[in-house]
Amino acid sequence: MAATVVVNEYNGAGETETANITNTNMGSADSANLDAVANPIVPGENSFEKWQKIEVTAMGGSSKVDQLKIWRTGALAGSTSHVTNARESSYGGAETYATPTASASSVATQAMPSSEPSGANLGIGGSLSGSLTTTGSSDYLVHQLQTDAGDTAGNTTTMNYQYREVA
Amino acid sequence: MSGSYLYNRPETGQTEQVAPERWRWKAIYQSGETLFQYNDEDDSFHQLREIDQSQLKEFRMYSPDHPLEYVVHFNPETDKLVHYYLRNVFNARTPHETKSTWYVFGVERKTGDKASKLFYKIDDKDRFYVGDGEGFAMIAFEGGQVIHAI
Repeated sequence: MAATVVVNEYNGAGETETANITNTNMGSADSANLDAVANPIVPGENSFEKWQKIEVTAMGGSSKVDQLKIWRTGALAGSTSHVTNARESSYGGAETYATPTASASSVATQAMPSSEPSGANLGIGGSLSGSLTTTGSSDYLVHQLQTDAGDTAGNTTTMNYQYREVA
Repeated sequence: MSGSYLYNRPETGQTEQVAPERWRWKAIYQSGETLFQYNDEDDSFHQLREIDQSQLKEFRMYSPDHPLEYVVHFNPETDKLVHYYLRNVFNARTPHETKSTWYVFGVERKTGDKASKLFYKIDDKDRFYVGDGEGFAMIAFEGGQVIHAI
């Protein structure tokens, strides 16, 4: 097999890990695999931040995984913004975990790209040029939806990612 | 043809199972010997770093599901071999999640003080692209073996 890659999410003050999440829905609860219908975001408020990592759980014969790219697709409603710490320049390094908040994130401060970035925008080991040569994880990907009071229901924003794998 | 190959990782001494890729490489040396990424004779898997580039003559990409074979003519004095996968996960963790692999290969060439890159990419629909390391442009071709002498 190729390298096995999963997305993990971390929640609560205790940094509880949910490995290999099945969805990355965003809403008014700090919870992995969230039911967005049951936990809607009130217009004008924010979703809880998502704190997630890309993890390589098996190398599958490969020698290196690097160049992580994260971007969103889908139609955001009204003036909702999807913000993140992922970025191609002025990358802030590996973030230290903090309990996810529904206040405006102080970590996710830049718009999530809406198309594939030209280069890595999520680091490994604190650097965009970092790599994994054995099992391990990326830096935290932190992201949040920030809505406006006039926004209506119907935000759709879907995560996409790409990585380079050398076998 | 095996459905699973074995790789012995020297750093750990562990044996890993490796499923075959749609596109694979074979390295042909100046001596005429060939190193297959996936060796059907003993079901072994070989990493790119096992290729002795000082003796390399051709690097070929082939697929058991495709009639074409792509050939990079290699000059050990000027070329450094490049090959990697771009793994894509679109609509991640949704009912519409799709995964795909693009195969990138080519050379970084240094002639005197002049450096250049010539990369190729095969996407998940077997479309073929040529690039300079910064981006790729798809090229069209008709049937028959396509050989790129670079």
